[in-house]
Amino acid sequence: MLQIKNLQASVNGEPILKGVDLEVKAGEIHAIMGPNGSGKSTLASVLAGNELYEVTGGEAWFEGKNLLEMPPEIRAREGLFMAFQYPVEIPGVSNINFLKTALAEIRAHRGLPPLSAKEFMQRLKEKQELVEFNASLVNRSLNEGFSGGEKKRNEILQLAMLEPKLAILDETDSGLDIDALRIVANGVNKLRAKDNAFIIITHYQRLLQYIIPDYVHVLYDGRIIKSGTKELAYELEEKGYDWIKESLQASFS
Amino acid sequence: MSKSIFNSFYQYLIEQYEAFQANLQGTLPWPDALLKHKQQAFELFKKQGFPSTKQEDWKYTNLAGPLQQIFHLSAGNETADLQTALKAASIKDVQACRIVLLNGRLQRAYSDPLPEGVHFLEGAEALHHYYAEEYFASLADPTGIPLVALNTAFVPAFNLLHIQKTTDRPLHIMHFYASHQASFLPERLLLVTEEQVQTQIIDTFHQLTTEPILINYVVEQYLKEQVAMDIFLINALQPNATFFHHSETYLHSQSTYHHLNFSFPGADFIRNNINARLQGSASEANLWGLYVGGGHQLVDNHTIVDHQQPGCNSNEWYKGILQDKSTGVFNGKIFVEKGAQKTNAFQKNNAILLSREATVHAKPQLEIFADDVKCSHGSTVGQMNEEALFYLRTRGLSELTARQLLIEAFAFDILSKIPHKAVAHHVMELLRQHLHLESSIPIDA
Amino acid sequence: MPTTDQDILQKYSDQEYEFGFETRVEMEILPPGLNEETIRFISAKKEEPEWLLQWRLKGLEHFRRLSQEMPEWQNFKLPYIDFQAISYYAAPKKRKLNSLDEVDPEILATFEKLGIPLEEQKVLAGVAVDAVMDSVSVATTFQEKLKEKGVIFCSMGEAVKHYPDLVKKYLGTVVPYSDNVFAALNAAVFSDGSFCYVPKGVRCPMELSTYFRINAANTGQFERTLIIADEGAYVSYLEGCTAPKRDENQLHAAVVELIALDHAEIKYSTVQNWFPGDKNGNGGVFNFVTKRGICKGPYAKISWTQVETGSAITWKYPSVILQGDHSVGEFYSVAMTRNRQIADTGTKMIHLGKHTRSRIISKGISAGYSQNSYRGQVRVGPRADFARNFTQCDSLLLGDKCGAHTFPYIDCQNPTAILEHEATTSKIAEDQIFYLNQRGLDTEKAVALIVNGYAREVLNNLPMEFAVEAQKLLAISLDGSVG
Repeated sequence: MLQIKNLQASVNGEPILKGVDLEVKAGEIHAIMGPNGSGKSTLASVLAGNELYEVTGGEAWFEGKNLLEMPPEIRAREGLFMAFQYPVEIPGVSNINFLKTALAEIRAHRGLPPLSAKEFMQRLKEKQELVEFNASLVNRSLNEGFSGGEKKRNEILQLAMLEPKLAILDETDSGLDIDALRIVANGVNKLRAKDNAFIIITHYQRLLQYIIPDYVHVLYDGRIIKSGTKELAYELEEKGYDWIKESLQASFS
Repeated sequence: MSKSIFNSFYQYLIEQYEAFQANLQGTLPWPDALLKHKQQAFELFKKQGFPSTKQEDWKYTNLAGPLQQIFHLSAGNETADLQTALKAASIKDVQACRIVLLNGRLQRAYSDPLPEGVHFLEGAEALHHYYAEEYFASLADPTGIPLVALNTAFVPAFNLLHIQKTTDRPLHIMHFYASHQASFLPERLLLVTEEQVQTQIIDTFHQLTTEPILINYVVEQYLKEQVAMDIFLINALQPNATFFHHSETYLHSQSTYHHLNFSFPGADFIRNNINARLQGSASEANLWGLYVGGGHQLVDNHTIVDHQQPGCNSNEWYKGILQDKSTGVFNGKIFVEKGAQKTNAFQKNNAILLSREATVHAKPQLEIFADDVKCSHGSTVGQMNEEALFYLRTRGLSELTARQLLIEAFAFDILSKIPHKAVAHHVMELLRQHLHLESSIPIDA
Repeated sequence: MPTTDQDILQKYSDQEYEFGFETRVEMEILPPGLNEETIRFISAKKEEPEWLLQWRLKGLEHFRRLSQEMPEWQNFKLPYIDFQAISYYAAPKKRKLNSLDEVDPEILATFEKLGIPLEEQKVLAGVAVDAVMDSVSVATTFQEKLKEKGVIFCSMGEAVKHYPDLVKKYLGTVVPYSDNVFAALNAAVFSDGSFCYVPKGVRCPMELSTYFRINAANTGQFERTLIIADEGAYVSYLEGCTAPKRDENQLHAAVVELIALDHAEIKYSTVQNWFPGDKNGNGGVFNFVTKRGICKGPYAKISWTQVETGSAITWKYPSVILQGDHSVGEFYSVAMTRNRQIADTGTKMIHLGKHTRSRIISKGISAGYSQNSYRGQVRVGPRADFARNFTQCDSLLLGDKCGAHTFPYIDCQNPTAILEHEATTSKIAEDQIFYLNQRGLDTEKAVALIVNGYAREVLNNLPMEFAVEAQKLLAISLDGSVG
């Protein structure tokens, strides 16, 4: 589904990603962990197409298409979804109107007609129940006045509504209390299927207690320096990132 | 450098005045009490001329350009196919009582019957009404306001709208303008609402000519106690129009006044003075505005909220969207006079520039002479939020759709103040029609 | 302890101006009057080169033109000023030559009284002082120590003699003699002032400071300050001002020019306490000053901080021209007016370069019958991509006879700029005072505490020693102003 080869990117001329390799297949969940500043969020932003990040080398292929050549909306319509670490508040844009427009665009891209108002509301209701997000969205602006937890849950609701092939969760667990974390994780678990995939970016291992990853990668200084199964996450939690750094230094010395 | 402009149009007006007055005396003689105002206003105009950018209130609005040609005084005999025009100008689904004016004169045949308790007087009837002597030129004082002086001196007659009873549907005043040459079209309304009346008025403006016209529309409004009045001013005039509007409103105790001011690309030059004087305690004035600039247009909104009595509230919010080579000017004054304690006065203005060549000048201004007050103003100039744009695009919206959505969201704060669904819909349509977002793709770093 | 508002206002009004004494030293004073001869006299007296005389004469020419039509846009009626009734040159007869020992002991005593120690051994650590009395620099301390670092800090007169190239290169480049009527007057008649040059890459090792004192009667003070921070240099500069109590008004028309080259930073702080006039508005200094800085190179920074409590009329807009890309301008101001004082002050931030940033924090406090206006302009030129401004201007009203006014001008010609302006006007909330009363503070202390908190953001920008002084000054000005 996603092949990343030697991906390099910089911000304001400063290199952040220094050659990332990653392959994600349908039905898989990958966790990317790493200390602050290792490039985790940069990777997510580059994949989503944020123009603040300059790709300086490497490739990224999504379903056989060159991801890096697509503007962000085409990536979204092709089925790539990013749950933002800090979802932006957009006053005046209603949640409903926004979701309706986004869904219609994505469906049109796949050759499907837009849903009728009734179908849309029906689907919204179902998905709200699925992700246990029952805040009233009617007459509210996009993310405006939402608590941190509500914003994250709204991201998961959008994920459910838009049914992407690949979802990237950028530190979705940050700032969530245990209940919200459980709800978000349940949502993701209900949405996982054999034809979709997830990349979960996180600093801590606690989200991974609820969403069991198939693979865990450690990103450090712009490179994936270690990959393994879910046990790697436990090991990291136990020994901390210093352990990785030390073993890394050891291997160079 | 002179603080005034004395150009050929000025010369023309000065030379024509005597003949104009003589003609007026023959056709529609003004009572002495009112004539006195007219003559004083003429003397003022003669002395002051048109304001130049040396005057603080005209700092960014240069009249030398729009007034470089001569706009002729109208003979008052223009005709037009109002039947067709009316159809095009009506607002869909608005059940309003239409009052049709051509060059400021009532066209009774095309107007709807007025609701009970509403009187629209013109000509001699208006001139000799008891409210005329009381309020004409005393609400909108020509001293110091050159364009009011100009109007007072040259308006051939004025209309008087007297509302004695609450209206069950909006009054839609449709201003049509026709002319076969470049014309100066002064127009004036005196509006008095009696105690406890609730009413809504829609003002729209329509050109039936491609000749250059200079519209000078002055409104004097007097709201007695416990009145609630909403005004929706919608300006979608076409190129070749220069529009000067001055609206002066006095509020008495416990009155509420909402003024919503919308303007769109078209008219080359728009200057609105929207003033509200809170003369009675516990009254409230709200001024909302949305201006969309396009082409070479200049849109200038000057507002005054004058708190003269204690316990009054005011809210003001103007938002501007500047495209192409347009220029936006916003000047909002809040006065809190001595003794006007327990005042709450808030003002906001936001503008976004969508083009390299667009310009905005904002001058919010507070002048406060009482201490127990809560006043604030906020002003921002910016552009579309790139972060929000990116977010919307990651959800599959095209850049154009995302821009459209964000602009509409920006406008929503003002659009949402319109209590009438059909009017709101009409304004939204105008907004969509006048936005050309494809030309507002961002600028490289 | 006063109890009623009336008592309090009374006490407040009767507050003595602490610095209203006169120094009796022998003075050399030019008779009143302004003409070419005056200019030639001043220039000759100071043994100036011909180019400077010619420059002054141009200033006079512009002054004559500009004074035909005095400005009217300000928020007060400009009092009539008889420019021919002012003496344009007054200097203590004994001029300082070689060391502080030669300074008239009376003058030293004056500065001592003002709390400005000139004797170096007594000086607060790290502060070099230039003392200016009636337009003439009487003492500059720490010159030797500064010289080691290559920093030039001297009177304008000395700079013209010893560093004519630097003066000629920069004088009038930020505030030209044609700028406005008072700047033109200053160009014609300026008698002294401070000059400072910090060479490339040098961080000036101490705070530099000038104290201005108008002493003689019927004189104006027309000093001119020029500060240049060369590439990568840093300097922090402070001026303080006082004057004796006099019934007639005195004119202070100074000019300050700041030039910051690439990556240079200049911090300029003012604690202004000129004589404000008596409670009926008689006398006091007209403080009509033109202050402007230019960030000439990339990443330059100029920061103005002012605490204005004195003067009958304060009329000035310390400004920054942000020419270099990524340059930064700041303006922090507290203006307190009482009795019949008038202040019309603020700043201009002119964004010309890309990624330029400016920040304006203005806190006005009005009491008595005073009128306090903030006037500021933020202008973004067509090439100033990604310019950013934030402005906060707040007004606090103490009593119902005073006025607070805000006149911001926001002019934007660039669609990538982001400008934000916020302003509030309010009085001190009764529940705040009550809360503090309940904790045992009397109302005056409570008000002082609240006002200090209100002004904190600005005071924090002053160098430590002067922050304390400014706080004291505010407290004195506030004393009894509780309404």
